Amino acid sequence: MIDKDLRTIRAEIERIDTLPTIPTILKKLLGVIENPKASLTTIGNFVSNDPVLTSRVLRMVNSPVYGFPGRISSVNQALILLGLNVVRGLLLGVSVFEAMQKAMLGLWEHSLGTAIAARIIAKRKKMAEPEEVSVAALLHDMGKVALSLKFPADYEKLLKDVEARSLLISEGEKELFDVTHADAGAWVAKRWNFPANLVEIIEYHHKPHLSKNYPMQTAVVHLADVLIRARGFGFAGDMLVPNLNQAAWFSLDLKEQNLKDIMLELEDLLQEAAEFILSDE
Amino acid sequence: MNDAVVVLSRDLVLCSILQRLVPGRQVICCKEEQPALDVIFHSMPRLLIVEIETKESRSISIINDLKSDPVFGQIPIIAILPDAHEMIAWDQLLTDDYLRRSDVERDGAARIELCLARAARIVEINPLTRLPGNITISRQIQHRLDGGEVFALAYADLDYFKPFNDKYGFSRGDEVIKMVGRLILNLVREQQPQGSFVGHVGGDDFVFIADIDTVEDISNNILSYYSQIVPTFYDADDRGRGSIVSVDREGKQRSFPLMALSIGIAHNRLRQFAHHGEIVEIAAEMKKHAKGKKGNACSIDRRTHVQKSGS
Amino acid sequence: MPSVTIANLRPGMKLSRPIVNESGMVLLPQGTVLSDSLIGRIENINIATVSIEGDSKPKKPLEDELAEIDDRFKMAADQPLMQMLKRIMKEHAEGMNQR
Repeated sequence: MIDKDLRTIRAEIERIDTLPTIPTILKKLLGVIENPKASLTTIGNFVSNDPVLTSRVLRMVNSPVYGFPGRISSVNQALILLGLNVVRGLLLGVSVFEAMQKAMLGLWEHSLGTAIAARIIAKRKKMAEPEEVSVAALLHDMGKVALSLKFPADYEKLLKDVEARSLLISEGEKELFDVTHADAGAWVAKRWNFPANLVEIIEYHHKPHLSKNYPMQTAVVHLADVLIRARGFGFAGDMLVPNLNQAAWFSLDLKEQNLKDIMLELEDLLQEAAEFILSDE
Repeated sequence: MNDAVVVLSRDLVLCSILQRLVPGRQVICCKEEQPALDVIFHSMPRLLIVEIETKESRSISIINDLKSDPVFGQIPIIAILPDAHEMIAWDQLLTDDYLRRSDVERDGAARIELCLARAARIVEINPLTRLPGNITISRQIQHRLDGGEVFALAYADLDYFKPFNDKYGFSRGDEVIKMVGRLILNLVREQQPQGSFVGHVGGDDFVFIADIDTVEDISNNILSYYSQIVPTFYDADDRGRGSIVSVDREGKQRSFPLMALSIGIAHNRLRQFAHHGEIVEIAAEMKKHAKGKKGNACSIDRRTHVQKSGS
Repeated sequence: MPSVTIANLRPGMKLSRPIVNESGMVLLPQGTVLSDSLIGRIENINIATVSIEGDSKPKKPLEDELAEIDDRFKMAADQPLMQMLKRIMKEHAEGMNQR
């Protein structure tokens, strides 16, 4: 157990006002925003592939300064409401995560992969807002960034410990902090005035049956998370597949064949995502 | 708006110093209050500089009266105070800036330019959306008409805003207004960074100015984003149903659709306007036409001329 | 057609565009399959990235892929739902390998 009580941990997590990103991604981002011809659409395409930038943009647009907190959960809508000048300034202020870059790069892939999978599932389930579900999936693990940002040495040790003992990262977090990244992510999301559905999905993505108001959206993100781990795409803190929640699975009403189709549809998009991360263009 | 700077002071030396400090502008010096007010009310000067000799000076009440008026409250005012003046209760003297008499020579020019620059930036902004209001809107339109520019004027407002406000309360209504203001401003700027203009007439009424060739694109973009965003301002059950139950103007309960945005567009490619009121009227008329369509809609004026009553 | 930095080049990758030097002379033609020694030579040319065909990651052998799936599922062995998921993943890996 870490030598801090829960209130202190929560207070430290909630004091976070921006998540740091990875140097390679930041380099690409600067290329995008320093281009004087960059439009909101090109910036939007970039931002919606990155959990850190997405969280930053959503935090800003949902802040009381703009006067409609807790309303906007889509990146494109957020960018239009903020305007090009604000967005440029906002993205220039992104900080860099030098430590743990390798683990974080894997988490970045995991997040993007989950977002892609969640969008595919939500579309197949003909849900009203596949975009919203996808944003929630992109951000579902932001608590991991928050925890490792506030407790870098502890978290790095945790990663090694979890690997040696074949634990899920959330099990290790629970032992060490008495809370998991799902709690930490929800604290930050709530403090940043994210819309209620994002907060709830982040909080319950490992326990989708506990989601009161957005059970379907949460179930989709849960399944997407499990599928991406099962596929071995990216690194979410451990290399194990957590159990697929029975209740969530039945509420989604999918068949084995549906999952096979989803995996096929997913594959090409994951390829593109991996190229986006690896390439230096 | 006139470019003049009006100085109200009995001190002739002060007047000549100020005239020297702002060489490019017309400086009108008035020794008495009344002639000063005449000039102000007739010419709407760019800046007013008032010397306050004592705490009892009548100039104080003149400043406060001007600042309390919605139209003339726009004019920035610099007060010139005696060197030995005690602490001032600024809520009793509604000035924008001040100078000590002995600092005028040294700081006057910079303070005046700063005050003018600040005023040019704010002019009159709507406290909700921070967008310029009617005076600036009229001036923008008239300036373009006078300069022979060809342009389009769009007028936008919300249908069923009142029942929304009645059901959810004015603070959520304000949220919607702020959202629509940001949306219009950013989409207009995004698609036409140069030469465009966005203003907030008041309530749920907005106007924007853009080139005729882009105005319909901009409008359709606004409508498309608006229709995606506005449902998030409703509670989940209302959003799902696509309607709300609220009271109508007669106080009766009935069902209303989600708020729709209507945009009417007027332009001067096919006909001439001399006065800003005329083109605003056509835009408002086209907006009425757009309201007749179902949901979010936009209508552009394509007529070459209109029958004016009595002509 | 991903563009890959020199540090990320692996044997087995195939050039989707020729590598040319500053004067435009083709050093390695399009379609060249990279070997360790070729990668060593590319490192000596002053270029930042190389265009590679298809996947920028070299393909893993199928056996490795299947073993990794077993490894990932080791905590959830006897659950029917997880068994199904594991089966789907293995079939998927086999299908992808044949592509």
